[in-house]
Order: sequence, then structure tokens, then C-alpha cells
Amino acid sequence: MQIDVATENGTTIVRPSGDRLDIEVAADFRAMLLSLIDQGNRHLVVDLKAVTFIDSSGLGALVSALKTLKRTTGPGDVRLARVQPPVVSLLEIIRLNRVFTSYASVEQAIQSFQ
Amino acid sequence: MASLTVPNRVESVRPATAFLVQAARAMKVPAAAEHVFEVAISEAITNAVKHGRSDRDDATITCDIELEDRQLTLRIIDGGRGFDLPKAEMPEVSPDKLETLSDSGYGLPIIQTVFPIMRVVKVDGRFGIELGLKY
Repeated sequence: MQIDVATENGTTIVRPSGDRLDIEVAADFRAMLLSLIDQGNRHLVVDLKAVTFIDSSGLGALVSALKTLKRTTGPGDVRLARVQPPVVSLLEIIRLNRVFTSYASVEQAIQSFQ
Repeated sequence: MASLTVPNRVESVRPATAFLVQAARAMKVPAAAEHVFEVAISEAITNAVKHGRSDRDDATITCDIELEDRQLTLRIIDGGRGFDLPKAEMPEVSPDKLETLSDSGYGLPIIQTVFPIMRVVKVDGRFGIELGLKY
């Protein structure tokens, strides 16, 4: 799975390019997120436009990144952008929409950190 | 009944999931049109990969699907050791308790949102899980 990373206005944008964020790729995705946090990136936007399928391991990677940020000193958050309807529905089923804020566009997600 | 046997490895999760979802849709099971149906099946096969004999090169997972009297039954047999199904409780998710938020344990509850019937079975001497739903 290709994961593109960009920085804009101090926010790190992470873009998984595959349509499935599942057990086959979740370990790489998690490692990428944790590595970015380890390098000091604390404002993360995950752009999920390409992702139409996510399972518990993909969601677990997001949770893992969020928890890592929250247990270290200083402000920081993982925010989601352009979440596709199937992923929205799964976030709602397991109530992770209560801990992840979603935005309609990447720009809005970046703005939310300003 | 339709059946598929795949090698027990992570790369088998996607094709095995696609096989079961397409079979259920061909059987015109209403729930199969829902996205969460596909996720639930993917979770069940993922569990089989995790708990089956993936340490052996020749280990396989067999997926069966059948429809009878508006009851859909899936059996995912991994040949692992028998196990007791843990209680499928959704982990607590609260913005006020992020420190205790779990990054795992969502799979079984997702399965159970789709399949009210879930039990451990033994088929031809191999253990696995049986999932069922009536409509």
C-alpha cells in the first residue's frame, strides 16, 4: 500500500492510496503513523478519500496513533478528512466517531488545527 | 452450498471475503448488500488466519456458505485448536477516557452486529466458527 505524506501549515496529511485499509496493510499504516508522531508531528490529518473499506485492524491503527499522541505531553490530535460513507457507517457502529472528528475536506481539517 | 479453501495466510482474507460476499449476494440475502456484512466476514476470516495453524505451510481455511429456509449459514474452518468464544462486547469508546480506549477487540462485536448466531464448530475433525442469520 502506498501512503503519501505531506505537510501544510504545520499539519501532517497522511493519505493511504489503496481502497482497503485492512489486515493486509494495517501494520504498515500503523507503523507509518507512529513513526510520524515519533518524529514530532502532532497535528495529523488522515485523508480517507480513497478508502472505501476499513476493518478493525485499520481502525485500530488510527486508535493507536490517537492514544500515542494523547499520552505524550503537549497538544495533538488525529483528525479525519473526506471519510467515505462505508467508513462513516463503521465508525458509527463501533462509536469511534465519538473520538475522531471528521471534516468534509482536507482544507477544513487543516484549518481546525489553526 | 458453496465452498472455498484457501491457504491460511493474510493474503487470503480478501479473496475469501469476496467469495463469501458474492455468494451471499447471489443468494439474494438482503443483509449482504450492506457494507458491514463484508466487514463482518472479513473480520471472521482474519480471526481464522490469526488463530488457525498459520505456522504450517500447508495450513488452509475452508469457507462454506449455504442458505436454507431463509437462514444463511457460514462456516469458516481454520483447523486451529478449539476455543471458547469470548463475550463479544464492544469496547468502551468515550472521548473522556482516551487512556483506556482499546486499539483492538472490535472484530467480534462487528461480526455479531451482522450475525446473531455465532458458535464454535468442529467439521471433519477441524475447528472453526459458524455464523448465522435469519431473515
